Amino acid sequence: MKKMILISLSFLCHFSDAQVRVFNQHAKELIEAKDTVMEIEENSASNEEYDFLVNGSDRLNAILLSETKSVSRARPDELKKSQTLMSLASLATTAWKGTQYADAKKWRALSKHFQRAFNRSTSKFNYTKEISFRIKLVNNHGKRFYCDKKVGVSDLNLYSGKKPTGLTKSEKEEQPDPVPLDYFTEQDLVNQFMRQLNRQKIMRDLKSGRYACVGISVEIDERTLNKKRIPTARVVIIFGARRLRDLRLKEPSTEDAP
Amino acid sequence: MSKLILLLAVAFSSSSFSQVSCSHCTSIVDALENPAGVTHLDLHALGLGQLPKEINQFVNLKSLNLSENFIEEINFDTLQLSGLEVLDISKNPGFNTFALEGIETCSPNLKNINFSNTNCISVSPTLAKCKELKILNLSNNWIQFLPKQLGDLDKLITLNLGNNQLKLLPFLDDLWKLEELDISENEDLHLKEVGASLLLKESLKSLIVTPEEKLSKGLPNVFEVLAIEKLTIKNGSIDALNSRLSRNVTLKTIVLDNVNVLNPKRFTAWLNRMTNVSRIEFKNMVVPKLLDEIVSVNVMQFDYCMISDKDELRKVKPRITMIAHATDISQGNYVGNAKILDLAESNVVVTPDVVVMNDDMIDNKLVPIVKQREQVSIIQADTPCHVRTENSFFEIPSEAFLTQSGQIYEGEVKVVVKEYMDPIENALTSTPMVYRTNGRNELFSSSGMLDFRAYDDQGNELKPNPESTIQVQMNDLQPSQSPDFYTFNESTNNWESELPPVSSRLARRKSRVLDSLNKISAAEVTGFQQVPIFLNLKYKRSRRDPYILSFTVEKGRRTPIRKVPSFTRFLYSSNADQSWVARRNSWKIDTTLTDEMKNVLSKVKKDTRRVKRSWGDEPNSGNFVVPRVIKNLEMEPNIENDNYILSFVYQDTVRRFPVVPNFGGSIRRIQAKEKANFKSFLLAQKTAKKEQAVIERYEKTVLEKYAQVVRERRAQAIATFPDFETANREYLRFGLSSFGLVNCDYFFRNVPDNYIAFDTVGTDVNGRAINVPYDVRNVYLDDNVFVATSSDKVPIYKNRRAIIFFLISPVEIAIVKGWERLKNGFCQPTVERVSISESDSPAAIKRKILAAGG
Repeated sequence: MKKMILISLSFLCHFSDAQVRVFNQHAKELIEAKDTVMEIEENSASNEEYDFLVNGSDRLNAILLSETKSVSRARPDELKKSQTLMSLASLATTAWKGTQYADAKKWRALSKHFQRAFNRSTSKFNYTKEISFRIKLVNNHGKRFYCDKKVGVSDLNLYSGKKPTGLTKSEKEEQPDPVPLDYFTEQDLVNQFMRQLNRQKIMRDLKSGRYACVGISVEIDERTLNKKRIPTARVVIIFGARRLRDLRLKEPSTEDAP
Repeated sequence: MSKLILLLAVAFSSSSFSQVSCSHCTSIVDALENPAGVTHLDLHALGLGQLPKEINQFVNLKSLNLSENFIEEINFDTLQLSGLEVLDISKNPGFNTFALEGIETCSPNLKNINFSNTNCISVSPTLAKCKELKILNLSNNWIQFLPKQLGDLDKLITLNLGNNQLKLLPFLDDLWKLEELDISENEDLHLKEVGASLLLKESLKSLIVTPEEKLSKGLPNVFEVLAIEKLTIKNGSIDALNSRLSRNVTLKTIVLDNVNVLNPKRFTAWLNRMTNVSRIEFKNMVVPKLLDEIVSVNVMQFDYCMISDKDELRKVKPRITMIAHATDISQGNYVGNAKILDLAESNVVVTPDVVVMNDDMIDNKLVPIVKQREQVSIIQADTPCHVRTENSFFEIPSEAFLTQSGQIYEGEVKVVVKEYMDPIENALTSTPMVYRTNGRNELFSSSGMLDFRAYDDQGNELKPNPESTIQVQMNDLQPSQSPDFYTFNESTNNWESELPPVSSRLARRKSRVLDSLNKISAAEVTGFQQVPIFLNLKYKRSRRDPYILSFTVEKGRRTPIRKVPSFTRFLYSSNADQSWVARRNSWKIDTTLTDEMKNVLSKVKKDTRRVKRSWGDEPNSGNFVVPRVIKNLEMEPNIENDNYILSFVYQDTVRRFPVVPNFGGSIRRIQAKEKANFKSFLLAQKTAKKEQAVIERYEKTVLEKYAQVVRERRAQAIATFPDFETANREYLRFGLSSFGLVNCDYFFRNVPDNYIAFDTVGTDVNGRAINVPYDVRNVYLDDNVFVATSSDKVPIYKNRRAIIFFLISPVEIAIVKGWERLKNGFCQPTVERVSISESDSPAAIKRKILAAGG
């Protein structure tokens, strides 16, 4: 038994090392020497359900970016989208798929890899803050649900209630159609996102416009699909800020021409 | 057809040969025949007052030798010698080394410059623009100050500053490729500071120093970590040298040149502790006693030494190889520790006394090959007059001649003067050059020789009048040397000592010294230096975060600008901007850390440790003289990239790192800290600027006044120096106390590197056999020496320009071009024939010999 534990532990260690290696290796290839900064487009969240199976994560990404910008009330125009940060965030959601999103200690341990990767690029800011969390994509209203791939009523195969078991064929036919779980609306997702930002204690700095750049990546976690699990998306946000904000060097005085 | 092609080829080759026939020329006339083909032009000892105007025609010139002339200035702006690599202006007394403007554009490829024996007191900073310079010789001058700009000579390998009056060598820090350095005989030079400058220079191999009298052990502790292989201690007294030298793992050879060993017992004990040293050489000195107790070395060499107790040599360990040049190490049946019978099998190498000459040479009875030309002048004995020859000037007062009976002669006088100013001509005319004294046969190295005779109208020889002496002013061929004066006694065929020279022309020289001193900046004259604070850069290569750098100030943190009392020449600055860097102790590298960066940082760390270790125990070592591993440290905020650029100079290369202060916390806290940090940065810059303004004001006011006083004192000191005229003469000046041959020479005591024996039969370049005679003449151009030897004992010097020739018939000279070693140990010479005739002057034959490329 002890041996088994040891083997599994070493496997885990190796696995986490492998993830770091993947991250570092791809960072070398992806990140360009000079950072590109772009304006963030406005994408307001609607009250319609967000079908992530159809829409993927791109729209959600754009919405969250836009919402982040709208938070920055003091200097709304200052927050921009950084190509380096976007690449890094995207790389993070692809490379790390485990418990790093829930475990703050584990996440902090990864910050140096972000810093090293960030050093590959020359950008206008030099402070970065990385945040990660998961957001639920399907609403079960806090109730019991089950997964049944044979029913075929919903693409998600998730239904509310208790899964009927031990029924005969005729009983099965008499059963009413199961109620599939609802998707969260876009606004709900944004609310979840904002709640997470609040939890990370960066809203104050974001509101006062201290951050200059942002990069967001939303990746739907495929491991939560078609299982008796609520489908989630991994979210990594990287904020970049200028350390030397508002500082000006004096221009060398030039003598007036006679 | 094939014959035609052959003929054409021969014609072509002969024509091309004629074009390059004078690539190595010794006269401007010969060189002008084909200026484009001249690559080496040797115009030494021609009495030139200025550079020939035709010099620009030699477009392919690589080497120009202007030594031993009277050139005072060269206008490099008007010259265009782009291929010139070697420039020798040595022994041009009074050459203006400040007028070098345009030298870098005139000859951008200069690799070797020789300014030795020019009596200069400094050199122009323009010299530093010759970026290709590898060898610089400034020895035997009056140099007290050298410009800092010499540190820009990045490719300099050999630097000779021996026998000057240097006090500071601020440029030495920046010469990272230096391999050989001679700083001997600079009395006021602080060896400790020199050691500090050489501390981290891995390329340095050979160092020549004179021990400091102030230091109790002659050499400072810092020498223990210098990466030198050969240490030469020259001209000084030593008791027991610093025992910490034994820790120097690279040191293999110690040379003692003219050193007085005060305590042989301590010296021997010290040497035995030097376990790394495998060779010790004694040169020109009395070898200390207790040689038999030396056990650590493998080779002991004696060059022109006196050994007080030869019995000791027999007790020296047999495994120690002994080599003796011009040193008698024989005692009874023993040579060193080997019996004479076993000499062939022993490990003792002995070469005989200086140079083995033939008997005719020793007796001064050599038969001349040609006669020297004479210059005849007719003068009136009763009126003062002047006689001028090519190299001499005779000031003849009235009543300067006596008849054989001792009466004053007052008629017409025929003055006959012969000059012997060239070693090849001396060899051809068989000039007597051996001084026999105390059982030794000393060979003259000529500074100048002439033969003055006077005859009355009847042809009778006249004598000099001691009451009214003829004054002679003769060109000095070797101004750096201090010759003695000799007259030749024809009855004994030997030389006799003569009167020393008289002095003149002090005022002119003094004014020139003052002119030169006025061109040197106040900081250089006074030795003023602004020393930055000692700052350590620490790089902790941890696994956790290898990006962290930290700085610490060793001493003097927040010390205001001040003078260091014990070293008045330094002005110790706190450098406020640097101290700001150190105050923000921990920084983080803000870029990807490459292997190159890691190596640099590790090296800086190691070097800093070495410096601290070697300077930690130095008594009274203020941190202002501690060598700076990193220099010119600067930190500049880079607002655009949101970081700071850290730059410093390490080993002559500027290194730049983008860094950020290693703060933690939220962005709000960091930005607030950065703001405060930036404020203090601006404040530090402001303070640093103020400090710089104080220094500049100090330089302009106090220092300039002080410099003026120093300049005047210095000029006065040089002018009133007792040996000034002797050491700085342009001419040899003396009174003729007797007529005949007069010689101004010193002794040539360079021991040959080897002897070879010529076979009796040689071959010319066409393969025809020639007979090699007994009498062979060897001319050493650099030393103005000729020596006649037997053909079976021909001395060979490495690294000396030599011409070997012999007479094969009354009308033909054979010049040795090379030789082939035969199985019987003899060498068969290959010669080039040169035809001569009775009508040829020695100068004409000399030209033929040089054209043949001896």
